Amino acid sequence: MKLTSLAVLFTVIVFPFLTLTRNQMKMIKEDARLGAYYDSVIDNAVQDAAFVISRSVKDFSYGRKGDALAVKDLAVQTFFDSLYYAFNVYGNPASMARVRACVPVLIFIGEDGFYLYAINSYSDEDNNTVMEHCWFPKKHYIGELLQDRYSVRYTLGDQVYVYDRTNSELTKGEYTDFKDKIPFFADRDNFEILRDSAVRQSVEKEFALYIEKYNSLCHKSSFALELQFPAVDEEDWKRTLSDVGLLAFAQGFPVLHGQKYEHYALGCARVIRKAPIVGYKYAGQLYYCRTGCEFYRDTVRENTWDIIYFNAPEEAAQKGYFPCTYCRP
Amino acid sequence: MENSWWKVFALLLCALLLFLAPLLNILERQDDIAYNVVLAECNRFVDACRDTGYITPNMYREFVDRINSTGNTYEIRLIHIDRAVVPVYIQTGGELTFTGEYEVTHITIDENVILDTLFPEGNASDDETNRYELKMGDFLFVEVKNRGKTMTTAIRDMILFSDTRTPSIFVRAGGMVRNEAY
Repeated sequence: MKLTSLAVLFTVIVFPFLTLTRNQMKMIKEDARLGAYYDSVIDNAVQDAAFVISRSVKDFSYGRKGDALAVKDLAVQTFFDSLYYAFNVYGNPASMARVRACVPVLIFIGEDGFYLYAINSYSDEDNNTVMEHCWFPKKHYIGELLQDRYSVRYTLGDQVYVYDRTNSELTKGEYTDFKDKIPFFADRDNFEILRDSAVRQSVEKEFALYIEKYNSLCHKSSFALELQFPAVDEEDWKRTLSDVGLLAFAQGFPVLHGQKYEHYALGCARVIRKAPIVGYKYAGQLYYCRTGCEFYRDTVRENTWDIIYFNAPEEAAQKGYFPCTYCRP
Repeated sequence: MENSWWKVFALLLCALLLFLAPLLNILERQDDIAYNVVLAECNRFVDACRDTGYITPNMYREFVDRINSTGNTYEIRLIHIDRAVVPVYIQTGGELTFTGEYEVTHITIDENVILDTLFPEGNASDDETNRYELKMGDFLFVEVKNRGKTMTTAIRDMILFSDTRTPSIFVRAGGMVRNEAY
């Protein structure tokens, strides 16, 4: 009897602790599951939007140009449709609004500028305050001041707009046209570094400004949710900001354990800059490789061995070019 | 008398701790594994459909076999959302006038339609002809939840005297169809 009493006492003491830790573990597990689920749903939706962008952009290269406005609307609509269906709330306005509120900011990266599609508050004609997603005005990719006089507006391609501050002149052209005035533009690598940092800084700056606006809106409406600047990896920035695409920032999906859910998803529709394939002639033999190839960068480009550009490896092979033995494209 | 009550209580506690608790633990792990399998299989199936643009009877059968291998029975729901772009007209009196705008509409297609195409009655199933085709831009989702109770839920309900009605395994996966490879 002594032993059973002892066993019961032991159980009574240990059981609450065991239950507590068990529940905690369960919650953490459930949270990880939910987080992974939300991540996959948002990544999926962004990919769907990027797919729609690349499809429509391909379509309107057949003559319907200047439809970029429609494309960004379509991309955003697709993104939210995909989210609604993934959560099975399509047609239920309250739940749809809940889902929308969890994705306060979308950024559409366009060819020569980007747009924020974000929650804003305004008063409608009946003087009611409305809070919903709105398109913010287009912003350009403005780089740093070069040579103390040229401010440059970049595009995602090779086009630049150079504004000369001394004589107030705006000129448009390929970056190579300006290499006499701006020595950085003589080299493609330097130009790309400048352009990428300009694109990134413009987007980051605009986003940071919006966060301030959003947080003050939330304070006014006494919402507890605060938007924070997401820690986006260097690689991810590079991957996304190189072509037309969509960025989504999700925050505040319900989780169990009190820790905030935060996620960003980047979808990039490769429409302007495809990975270029270069063909060259080496020792009488034709080869093709990617522009990132070491051999191409160090040797081929120096000697300019009959360089020719292709869109795809198939195209190069059809012309009789062999894959480069260094990078195996 | 008091002694025997004490014994019964100790016995119950013993049964709970020595048998039911470890069993519940093992079954819970099994449920976790089942969930992971179902999640992976759902994603695999739905991604295959989205990347090819069609569902064949074999694809569906294989998917069902794979998730049934976890030992539970499942309720599978396929959801196909047909996307159509239609012009917007305004009717004034008896006349229709085109507004110059268009609208994207979604029509949810019932699972029975999909399954009837895949497995028509009185027809030997043929992978080529019984294919269910989707359009690029449509949405396809698959929803899987376990039917009835899993062993874990049953035993937990027994211990806690509860009746759980929510499925313990629930997966919904899918997205936009990206290809029409037919």
